[in-house]
Amino acid sequence: MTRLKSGVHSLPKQANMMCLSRIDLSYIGTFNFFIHSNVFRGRMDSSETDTDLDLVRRTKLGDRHTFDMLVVRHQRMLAQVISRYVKSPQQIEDVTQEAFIKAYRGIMSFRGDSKFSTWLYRIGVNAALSFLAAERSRIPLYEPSINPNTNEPIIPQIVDNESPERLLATQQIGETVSSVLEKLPEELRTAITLREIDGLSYEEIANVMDCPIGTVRSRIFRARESISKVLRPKLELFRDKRW
Amino acid sequence: MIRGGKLKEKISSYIDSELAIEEVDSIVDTLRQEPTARDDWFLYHLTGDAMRGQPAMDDGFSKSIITKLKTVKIDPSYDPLDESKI
Repeated sequence: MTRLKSGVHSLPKQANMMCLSRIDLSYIGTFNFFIHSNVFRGRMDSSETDTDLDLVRRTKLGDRHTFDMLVVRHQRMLAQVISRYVKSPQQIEDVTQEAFIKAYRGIMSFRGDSKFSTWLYRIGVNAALSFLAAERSRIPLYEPSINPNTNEPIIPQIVDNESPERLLATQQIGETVSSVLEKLPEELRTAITLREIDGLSYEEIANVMDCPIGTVRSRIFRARESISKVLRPKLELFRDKRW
Repeated sequence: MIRGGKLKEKISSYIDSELAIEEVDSIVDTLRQEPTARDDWFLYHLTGDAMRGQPAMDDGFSKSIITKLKTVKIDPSYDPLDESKI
């Protein structure tokens, strides 16, 4: 059985540079493997699937819900990319939504030549630039007001692209996560940090921490679950609310 | 269907592209059917994003996108990166 290693999107730069080759490879069903349109890179002899590519493949086969999973997966990073160009929170959300719609409509054009996230963020940047171009054509040229006391131009304040509500939510969530992380046993904290911050694969973390991959898998899950238990009531999650 | 801590651990592994290929179908099916599993998917991603300092989106943001997507159809001839067709 041909198997492919994933976690490509999470590889550190150095590891990415070591990627050896690309061939098209994917599968349908549990054991029915066939050549399709996946990205196969160095670090092989593996048995895991690249989640982004798997979800894209399922979307292409007509499962729209798997694209919903990609939305949840990439919404914050895409919004952050767009926020470098677009300033108001509402506009960031509008452009982010537009980018996801364009990506879904054009999902067949994604051939796996790049990471899905790279493709998506390019769509986001283009959507942001198109939005700015449209805004420029609507907004009259800026004429500075003059301060009557000093006779100098009044420099407008830069608009903050974070609403107070979002800043508070980001701060509270960040503080909660930090607080739980500090209280975690060191091996859980190290495992989740190597994964989420440093982007190491489970195999790389196992090498760093000198433990089996199964232990890494368990430690990362236990760290996530510990944090989620504290976050869950704060976010007031309700069934069927999100998807 | 897998449930409980084992399911959550597999969701966590799938997030990291570290789930065994033969286990992916059942996890995706569970994520499609089980709201609690989708909550875990959401929360585990939120945890990582928070650790990297990414902004918290409004709770209903992804829901509004997903609702909007229900009205959109895949267009095999559309390339969002082809400027001439945007």
